Amino acid sequence: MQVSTMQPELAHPDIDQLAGDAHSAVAQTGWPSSKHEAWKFTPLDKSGFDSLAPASRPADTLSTAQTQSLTFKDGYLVSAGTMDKAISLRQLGRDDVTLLNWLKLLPKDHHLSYLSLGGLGEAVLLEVEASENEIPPLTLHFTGEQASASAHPVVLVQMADGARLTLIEEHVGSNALSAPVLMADVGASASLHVAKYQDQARSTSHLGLSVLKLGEQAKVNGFTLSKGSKLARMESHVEFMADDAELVLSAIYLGASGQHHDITTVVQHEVPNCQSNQVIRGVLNDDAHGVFQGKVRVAPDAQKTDGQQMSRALLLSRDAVADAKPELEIFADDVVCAHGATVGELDETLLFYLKSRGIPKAQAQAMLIKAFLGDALEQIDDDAIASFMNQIIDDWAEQNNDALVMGNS
Amino acid sequence: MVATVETINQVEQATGSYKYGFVTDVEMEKAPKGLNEDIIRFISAKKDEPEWMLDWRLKAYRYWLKMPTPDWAKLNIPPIDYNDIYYYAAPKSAETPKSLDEVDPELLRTYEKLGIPLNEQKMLAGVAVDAVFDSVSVATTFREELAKAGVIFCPISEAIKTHPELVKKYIGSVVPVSDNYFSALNSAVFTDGSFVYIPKGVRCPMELSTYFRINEKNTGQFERTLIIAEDESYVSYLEGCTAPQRDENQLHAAVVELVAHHDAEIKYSTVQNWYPGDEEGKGGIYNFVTKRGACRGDRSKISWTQVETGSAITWKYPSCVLRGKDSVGEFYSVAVTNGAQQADTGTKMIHIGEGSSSTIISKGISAGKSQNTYRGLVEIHKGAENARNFTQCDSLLVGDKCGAHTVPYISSRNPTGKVEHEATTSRISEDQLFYCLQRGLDEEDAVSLIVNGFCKEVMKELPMEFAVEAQKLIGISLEGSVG
Repeated sequence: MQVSTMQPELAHPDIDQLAGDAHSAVAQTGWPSSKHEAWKFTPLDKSGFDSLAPASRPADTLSTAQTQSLTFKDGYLVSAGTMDKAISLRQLGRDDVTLLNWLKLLPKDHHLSYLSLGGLGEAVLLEVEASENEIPPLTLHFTGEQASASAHPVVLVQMADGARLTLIEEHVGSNALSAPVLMADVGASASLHVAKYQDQARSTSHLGLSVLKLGEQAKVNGFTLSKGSKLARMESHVEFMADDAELVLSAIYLGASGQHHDITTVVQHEVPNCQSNQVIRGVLNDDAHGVFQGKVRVAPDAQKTDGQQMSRALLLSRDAVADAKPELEIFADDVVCAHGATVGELDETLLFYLKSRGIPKAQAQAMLIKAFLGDALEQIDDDAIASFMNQIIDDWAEQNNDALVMGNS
Repeated sequence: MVATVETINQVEQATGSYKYGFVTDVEMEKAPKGLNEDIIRFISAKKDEPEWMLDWRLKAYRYWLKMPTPDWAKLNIPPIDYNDIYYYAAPKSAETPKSLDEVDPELLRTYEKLGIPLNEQKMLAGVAVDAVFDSVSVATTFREELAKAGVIFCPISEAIKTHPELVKKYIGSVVPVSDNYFSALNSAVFTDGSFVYIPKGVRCPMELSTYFRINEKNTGQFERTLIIAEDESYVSYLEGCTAPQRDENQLHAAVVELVAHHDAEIKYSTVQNWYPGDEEGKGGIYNFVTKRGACRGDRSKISWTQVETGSAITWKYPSCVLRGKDSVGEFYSVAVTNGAQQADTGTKMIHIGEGSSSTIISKGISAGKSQNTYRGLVEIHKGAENARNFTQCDSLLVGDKCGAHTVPYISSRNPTGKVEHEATTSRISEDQLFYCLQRGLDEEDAVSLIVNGFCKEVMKELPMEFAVEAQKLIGISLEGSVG
């Protein structure tokens, strides 16, 4: 993105300052190349983002919807459904000090932060109160039509102590670049489910950032399915702010011809007695490239931390490429932390077993792919979401399997 | 700049000329401090090296000048003034002794204090020792017996003269001069090291061993080791390091290159217990080492085993380039850090050949205020059909002020390749400790016992000569970390 094409109309002087700093940082260093450690496997310097400008606000007036949902088009809110009474929605203007305070929580010296700050589109704040009733899932629908522009929506979620919410993020549309930001501050004993589904047009790039802060005894379960786009990086930063919080982070990427999927996580245990568990699975067909980078940091006083992480990639094709960099950074001694990573192809003996039972090769392969992804899917503890994701995986496995069997014969 | 000018002046005074002008009978025992082309010419002249060697050094130096200091490791390296280091220092008796009797008795006594009795080893252990005291080899034993087998084992400075064709062919072929900052520096200024050549079909009749020592104040040590194993040969090489206490930090930037041809096997074992500095890390050795083995032949095998307990800062990644079909790479490592030590160590396994396989077992133990990082790369290239890697990295934390970090990189470009990595981090189990204590062991012995158990997978890979010493070392290194 060129400096000159970034949003000019920022009103709050400090937000102006942040955006200005982002401009200069990008202008100075450019987009990160593979020499940049955090972007080693997903360099952006040749992605052509320089020629993009942030999308302009669509002409659509804000409409209402029947379902509990928000729709963003080209990065701007165009439709808002009726919300449960425990949820309040607020659009934050660029002069809003609340927005400023949230933006200050973005990861420092980070290109995705620069991207959001520089291109800042719409920002909305969802405040969720504790409620005795079950709140139906809230869907965030992201779409876009301006094919040579970038979209920068920001969704902020403030969850009061004891609040509960299920968020479904759907990223479709055809903006050249989507760089959505989701930030959630999860209060004490609050519980948040986030299920993210990325199926943008194949010509697009998706650079998504989620920033989650967990209060005491908070529970967060995040799931990501990355299937669309030419280049997709879905990055999550989670920070434990108080004791006894629990995190489950799972992700699946499905890569086919020409695609690059990157799942990056940074989990920071800053306080004692918290648990994190990450399960990542990726399947790569054709010449797809899959990347997983996951860092678990345990601060000096974060004793009794339990940090687990397992990432596995399955290569279906001779041209597929998988890179992984799981990382443990541990400064406390009374901890149990482990990570594992594997890369390989479908197990021939398993395939043979199924075939010997009379199951056709294509079906057997599809079964094995699904079984492989099962570990990550099982982490979703909402049946409706799980079956929705399951269906997508089924379709993908079937579709790619045909190619696979033909390719093999 | 002032230092450089001064250096040039000193060299000029000492030698009377600059360009290629050094004569071998220069009486200087030491080159002046500082690094420039003249110092390199001085070293080369001192070593009576052929022209091609000097050119090679100068080429490396010119690369080095353009390279940035690497900063990617999880290490806090104080700035090093490369012009405040002596790059060449010879012991007082620079003449190569014909036998042990000719060796300075003072020197021999120092070795004895360090537990390296040359004489006894000669008789008892059956180990040939090429001892490097500072920069010049002063004693080499068992040459004759090795010569009978056709094995060449000599200082590399000698090999440059006696076997130039071999050195020329292999030096820099595994670690190119421009490989990294410290290897470029080493290539420019290396003073000595070992050269080993095992001819075709020969199983080296004894374990070869070199003890490196850093003694002279302000002396950088830049060893260069080159081991070549021809088809169907075998060699086991032992490297051990000790250094007396020092106040100023000392830089060590060694390069080790191994080449294994068809069906050859090289086993390289290291015990490194250089001075780690005091509680605040003051005075310890900086150990920046590039070690790499090339499995060039089919079914060749290179195995690295290391026990790293010393040095204030360790930056070391013994690697294998598995080019041969069905070649095998192994890395077994124990890294113990205590006090204010910092270690960033691991390995690289580059799978290029079909059916190549590698095993990585790394055990890191952090105590005190130390930081211990495993950093590794496993790369499966496109042609590496059915390549296989298994990696296990376990870290143990002793005390709540230290850090243990694991940074593996995995890259796979062939679906038939299989990579498995697992890592765990935990502390010494209370149950185990309690069990040992109630059996009457004191806490320090108990920790030493448990840690040795934790490292057992690696320790069993060590040659017998090293195993006992290494076990003791681990105990000694952890002294003061508990209670």
